[in-house]
This record gives sequence, C-alpha cells and structure tokens, in this order.
Amino acid sequence: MRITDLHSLQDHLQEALEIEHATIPPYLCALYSIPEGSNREAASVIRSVVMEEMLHMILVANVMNAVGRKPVLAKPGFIKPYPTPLPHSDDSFTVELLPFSERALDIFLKIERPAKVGAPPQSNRFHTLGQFYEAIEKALTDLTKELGPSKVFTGIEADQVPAGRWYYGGGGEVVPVTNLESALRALKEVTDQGEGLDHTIWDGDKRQELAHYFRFAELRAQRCFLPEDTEKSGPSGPELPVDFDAVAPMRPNPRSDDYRAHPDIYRQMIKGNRIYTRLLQQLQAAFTGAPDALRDAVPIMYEFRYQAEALMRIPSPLSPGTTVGPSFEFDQNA
Amino acid sequence: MTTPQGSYDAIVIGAGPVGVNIAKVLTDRGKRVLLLEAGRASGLSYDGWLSYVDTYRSAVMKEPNAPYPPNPNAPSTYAQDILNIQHKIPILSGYQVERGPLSFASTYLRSLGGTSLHWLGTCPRMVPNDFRLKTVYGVGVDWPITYDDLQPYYCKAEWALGVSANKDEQGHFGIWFPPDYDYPMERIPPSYSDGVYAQGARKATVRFGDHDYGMTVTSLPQARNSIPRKDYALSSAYGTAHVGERCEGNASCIPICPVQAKYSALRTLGQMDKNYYTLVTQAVVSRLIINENGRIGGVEYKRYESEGSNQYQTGTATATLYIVAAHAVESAKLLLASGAANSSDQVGRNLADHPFFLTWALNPTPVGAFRGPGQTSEIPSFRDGPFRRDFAAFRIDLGNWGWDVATFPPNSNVYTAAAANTFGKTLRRSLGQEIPRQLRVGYVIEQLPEPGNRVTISREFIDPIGCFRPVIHYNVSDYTRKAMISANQVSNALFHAMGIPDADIYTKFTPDSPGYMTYKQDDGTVVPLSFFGSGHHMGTHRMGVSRTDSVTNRYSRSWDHENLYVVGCGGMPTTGSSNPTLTAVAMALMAADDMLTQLG
Repeated sequence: MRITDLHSLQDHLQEALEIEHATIPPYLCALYSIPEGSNREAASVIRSVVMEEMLHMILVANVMNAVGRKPVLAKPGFIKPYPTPLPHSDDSFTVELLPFSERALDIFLKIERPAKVGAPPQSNRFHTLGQFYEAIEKALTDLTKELGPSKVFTGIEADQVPAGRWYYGGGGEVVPVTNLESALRALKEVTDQGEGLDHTIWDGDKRQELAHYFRFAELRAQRCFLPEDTEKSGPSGPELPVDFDAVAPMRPNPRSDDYRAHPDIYRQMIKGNRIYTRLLQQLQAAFTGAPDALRDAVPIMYEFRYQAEALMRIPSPLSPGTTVGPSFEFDQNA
Repeated sequence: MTTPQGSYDAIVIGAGPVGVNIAKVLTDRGKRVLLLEAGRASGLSYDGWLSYVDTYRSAVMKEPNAPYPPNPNAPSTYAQDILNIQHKIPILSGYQVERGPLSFASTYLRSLGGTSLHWLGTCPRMVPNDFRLKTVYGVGVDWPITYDDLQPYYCKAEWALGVSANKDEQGHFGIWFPPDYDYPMERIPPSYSDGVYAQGARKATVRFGDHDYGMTVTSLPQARNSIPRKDYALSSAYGTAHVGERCEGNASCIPICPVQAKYSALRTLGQMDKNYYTLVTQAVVSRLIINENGRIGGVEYKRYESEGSNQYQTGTATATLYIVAAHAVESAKLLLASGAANSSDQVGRNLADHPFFLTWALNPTPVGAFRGPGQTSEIPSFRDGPFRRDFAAFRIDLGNWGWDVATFPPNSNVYTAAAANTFGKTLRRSLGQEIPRQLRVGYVIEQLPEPGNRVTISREFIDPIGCFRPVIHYNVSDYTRKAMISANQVSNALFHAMGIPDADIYTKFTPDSPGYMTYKQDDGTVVPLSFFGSGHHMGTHRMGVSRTDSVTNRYSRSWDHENLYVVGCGGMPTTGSSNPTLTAVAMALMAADDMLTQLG
C-alpha cells in the first residue's frame, strides 16, 4: 500500500518514531544487565547502538516537524507492552525485554536485519525497517513533486534540533530538516546506521563503523569482522570474547503488575516507570518547539539508568535465581 | 619494543602536556621527533584506562595518584607520603626527599601523559600585571615577555587543550582576546552552588589598605569537553569512539576522568602523525651529553624492561634539538645531574607552588555538594590589585565537592557519626542534613621567586635504577602567609554575606593539620594557618632577559646551550595565581616557533 497524502505521511512518521523508540528498552535491558567492569566490549557495542537509536528518534522528529506534524511521545500506548512485535511490522518476530544473552542478540539481529537487494518498499506490515523507510522516502519525494515543497515542508526552522549541540556520545550527526534533500539525508542516516550502507557492513560514518546489524553479529559470533568481510562471509577476524554468565539474570519482560503483592519491589518499579515517563515528556517538549529542552533530558537518562541498575540487582521473588529489572511502562501520574 | 632509529630533528624528554604539544607542532611541520617518556605507556588502550578507573574505585586513599600503580623505576610521590611533615623533617618515605622547613605538599605523575592524567583541567590565563610584578608592585621579578607577547599563544593553547569558556566573562584585569577569537567550546554550566555563592558575593566587601574590594563570581575556563563552537572537532577518549564527548559530571576529575572528557596529553598524542614520531616509554633520561662546543650532543637514557625488576639498559640518542619537558622538578634534576644550563646558578631554584588555603562552612540550605567537576566558577576579584605591594594575589576557587580535602567527606562524616554510635535511619538523616550543605572555598595563592626554595640532588638519594631522587627545600614567606590572613577575611565577609553564622564556619588550623604553620602579625599575635599543595610546581628553570639570573631566554632556550630548550611550568619567573598548565603550554608553543626557525 502506497502513502498517497500528506496526512498519511505524517502518520507514518509518527509510527517510525514509535518503532525507533521500541528498540530502546530491549537494548537498555541488555546494557544495564551487564555489571560495570565485565563484558566491556559488549557493553560498548550495545551502548553505541542505543545512542544511535536515540539519534534516529531525533532525526525522525526533525522530519516530522519539517512536514508540519508534532511528534507525540508522552501518551499511553506510545510504548507497547513487551513482549511485542515491532509496531506496524509483519509480526514475524517478537521483541522481548531480556538480559544480555544469545536470545537477546538473536532478537537484536532481527530488529536490525538488512533488506534484501531489490526488496520492495512497505508502508505497513513491513518485513525490514529499511523497507518501511523506503516507503516513507518515496512518499516524501512523490508528494514534494506533486504538491510542491512549500505545501509539504511547512514546519518552522526553530523547531528543528540543531546539529552538534545536544546529540553526542554516539555515531552520526543530527540533520536539521528544511527541505526534501535534508529530509532524505536524515532518513538515510537512520537506515545506513541500522542495516548498512548500500548493502555493505559499514554504516557510512567517516570513522568506518559497522552498521548495527553487523555490530550485533560480531557479538553473536564472538568474532570481529575484518574490513573485507561481507554479510555473507560473516566475521572472520580475531575472537571477541563474551561472558554471558557475568550478567544480571533479569526475569524476562518485567511488568509492575506482577509485583503488586510485593509492595517494596512494586514501589521501585513505579519509581523507574515515572522517571522513564518524565524522560518521554522531556523529549516531547524538546521535539515540540523547545529543542534546548534536550539538555535537561540527559540528567533524567542518568537517573533512569541508576534506577534500572538498582532494579537489576533486586532478587525477584517470582522466579528463584532471577532479578527484577525495569518495565518501561507509561505512568499517568508521573 | 620500540627503539630510537638514527638521528632526529628533535628529542623531547617527557610526554606530558608540554612535551606532547611541542611534538605535535614539530611533527605537523614534518619534523622527526623522538619522545622519551620515563613512565609506563599508560592509557594507550581504553581498556587499560578503565583498569586505572578500577584501581581508583577500590583505592582507600583517593589521592591524586591513586589510580596509577607505583612504578619503582620511575617513581612518583603519593600524597600520603608527605602529609604532615611538621614533626619529622627530613621526610624520606616518599620519592621526593623533603628537607623542609615546610612540606612541599604537591605531587606529580611520571607516566605517559604526565600529570595531565590527574589534573583538574582549570585553565585561566594570567593577568597582564602578573608579567610585570617588579615594575608595577616592586616585588618579585618581571618576565622577559608581556601578556601581549603571549596572547596569540594563549589562543593556540586553548584550542590545543580544548578549553570550555565564554570570552566575554574572562576579561579580568586587562586580559584581552582578539575580536575574531573565541574559546573552542562553550563554558561548562555553573553549578547550583556557584549561584548560591554569587548571591552572597554581590553583597560582600573587604577593605585592604585604602581600598574596598567587592567580589564577583564568574565561570572558570576548563579543559573539559562541552558544546563545541564553529569548526572545533571534539575528541573521544583515546582508543575508542564517542566516549567523553561532553563532561558527564562523574565528579572524579582528580584523580581520573573515567571517560576522558577532561583533556590529557594522550589526546594530543592521538592526533599526531605516526610517520613523524617515535615514542619510547620506560626510558628515563639520566644525562644530557654536552659537546666541547657547548652544544648538546646526545641524551643518555636508562631503559628498564619491566616495572618488576630494576634491570635496565643504557642507550643514547641524538638529534638537532633537545627539549627538556620532564616537569619542573624532573627537568631541574636532569639539568643538575648533567651539569647543564646552569651558569646562572638558577637551575632548581625559585621553586614555587600555589599554596592552597581552604575555608569551609555549612550553608543554611542544601547546595548540592559532590556533583559535577571539582569547580566550575571562581571569584577573580583578588587576582590583581594595589594590595600586591603588601601581600600575595589569590584566585578563589568555589569547590563543588563538599569540604573536599579539608576533611575528606563523606567518609569523615560517617566516621564521626559512627564514633557517636549513630546508625540506621538516624545516621542517614544526619548525613543527609549535613553533607549536601557543605561549602568549601579554596584560595590559590601566589608565591614569589625565592632562591632558597629549590630542588637539589645528592648521591645520598638514588632510585632503584640509579637516578637521582629530588631533594626539596621549601618554605612559605610572610608575603604569602599574610595573603592567607587576608583570604580568611575575604572568606568571613563572603560567608557572612551568604547568611552563614560564625557557628557554621568550620575552618580551623590545628598543629595536626597538614601544612600547619603560623603567622606573626604586626601586633605580635601569632595566628595559626594551614595550606595544601596545588600541584603547581613552578620556577625551577626560569626564563629571563639576562643570562646572569635566568636559565633560558624568552623562547625557553638555554642561554648556555643553543640547541637546548627547557620548557614547562619551571620556566615561569613568577607564578601569579592562575593554574599554570595553560600558560606553560602557551610558552611551549612560543618555544616551538623558535625551534622551527632553528630547524629551518
């Protein structure tokens, strides 16, 4: 199904924002399950990917603002309860909140899998994210041609998150979006970082960084890629040791409701949810006219990390040998 | 193992911020440089860096060298070795031998990157009158250069070190910037407590002589990453991508920034073209070889294979130019050991620190202590003024880490509470009521050049591989002690203006305080004082206008050996009250221009 009008394009961009966000809780669970000092390489890889997913949220928000739709994050339903398929996907796999593990990596690989050469654009029930974005890019191009740029790019520049200021600590760069060219550049950054540039293992960054899929493939194979390796060859470089035992054994897919009978734990989970909700509210403010609000999102991210790590350490009374973990639920009372 | 190959355009001795920045300028122009570093190859991988972070986290004494394990073949002094010298001079327990009468309470680090691994990163420029102290105030000496001479190199040094500041806030006492210049990054945001100080400072005044002095709080330039300006390219931690691109407020700048958002010489090293330099670590230069014609003809160094054994091999290396940048104390030591550059008899003399005088109090309301970099703002109001005829200038640092080294919180609070048998919720409440209100003001005080404050060497004191240990003779003159009395007046005026009653001012100096000493006032009363070291070793090979009373000319070039440069904080004829690394790097960049001229 093609995207044929501006309203539908805007809806799809809101969906893209939900999809980009949906990858962050599973990545954060894996990251925060790794205690400081162990699995440093793995933690650094996951951290680098999750930073870039945050960049993708900014890039999508910039495109949305440029085409005249305000991004919405702080509302019930923005976060689908885990386990869940990727929103608007073909439901071919389920995303779960898991500690760092082979099972978690298998899911990450599915999230980031590259589109096959020649795979068609898919505006709904997409198989790969690349195909979904291709549908959006095509719609942007077609609608700009059909309606003229001034009818499509109606946003104001002051709403754009600027480059070089608030995003750092990860690869890639923010693209302020004012026209078709910058919109396509912003979306290309998203797909290149995820699945690789032009069907290579590289993400197009000048630092020669692997695309997300291939960073995870290294961890899964416990082996590094060499520059001449391809998707097909797999990694053929030196070993990359990973220790799946040195991980907090978080009980899969935490939910606060499960702990209602354990008020001390329940309270800690609610606390985590409220911090996360405040973070979404702060991001929403930043994406709806006050880009400088991103500055104060950073301390909230740290606050959430500390709470998530604390939850990772609390033994779960529900399954012996596991710990509680963060549940990423929207809290109306935050 | 890397070894020197052939002859070089320049040999740089010491891979700290001064040496590495010179090497960067020379290699950028295609010169071949040999970098000789006495210490280990610290921090060349990010994993290695994190192992220092681990060492720091598990250290009981969180002192400036705590993350960096002792290296017997290139020893450094650890703070616990020199605290509280009062009762036992000379102190022999540490690497530096202390002859007194006071303890030289500062340490440095001999490792790749030098003391920039543990510095705080504070980067204020010196004020113009600091360069002409004798002419303007009749004390100390004048420099052979003026602020205006050094100004272009300050700009370069600020970009080389990556300093965050807003120039419109930094024009203290005649400091000026070119109109088209700005710092490479925006200022680090002031802390909450900076704002609390600012409200009080606005109302505070003190009178010295015929002058009333007000106080203002301004942001402090710092070599740590913040929001970049224009085309400044942010650097990640050495050996990894996207780490430390902003200060994260880890609040452990001293002794280690876990993400390297704070500058260290490793960063500059990482930016150098590998085709033009050779780095040899674990190579302690023991002697400069002087030719009959007075030129330096080579360096002799001791290369130890491991830190666990005192086995070493002696090697020599040659170059057109020799650049001693080994730290104020180590450079003086090497010159003395070589009988080099000392026709003026000034090598090792005029050793100075910025005695660090502390006052501390509890604010009526919480100020959010222990968050962010060690300091984000200062009170610059006493960096210059007519009082300098009478007592020393000082810069006032507003600490963000509670009472900090004054009492070593929060541990000290826990000990005190535990000793009173407080535990559980009561303990938590009492800590929560006190620690977040802790204020600590630090006074970074000038010391005049004094020939008796000096580094010497003696056959009596030798390290495991047969190199000299530094012997330090140190005192603090009345000019500086009197400034501490004045600083205490400033402190009281400030605290009172902030609404703090005397009962909540906890400053005290008892004979068991580190750096305890006294001052005899004009009326005969004896006032107790105490100071800490700032880690600012300066003055041991000062530059000057005449070969009779200085070691180098204005370009840090030895008067005695035309192909020898002695660079670093030791070259400063007077110290002002500005933390010296920025000035030392500016002086080094000025010297590097002269080196390029010599090399052609």
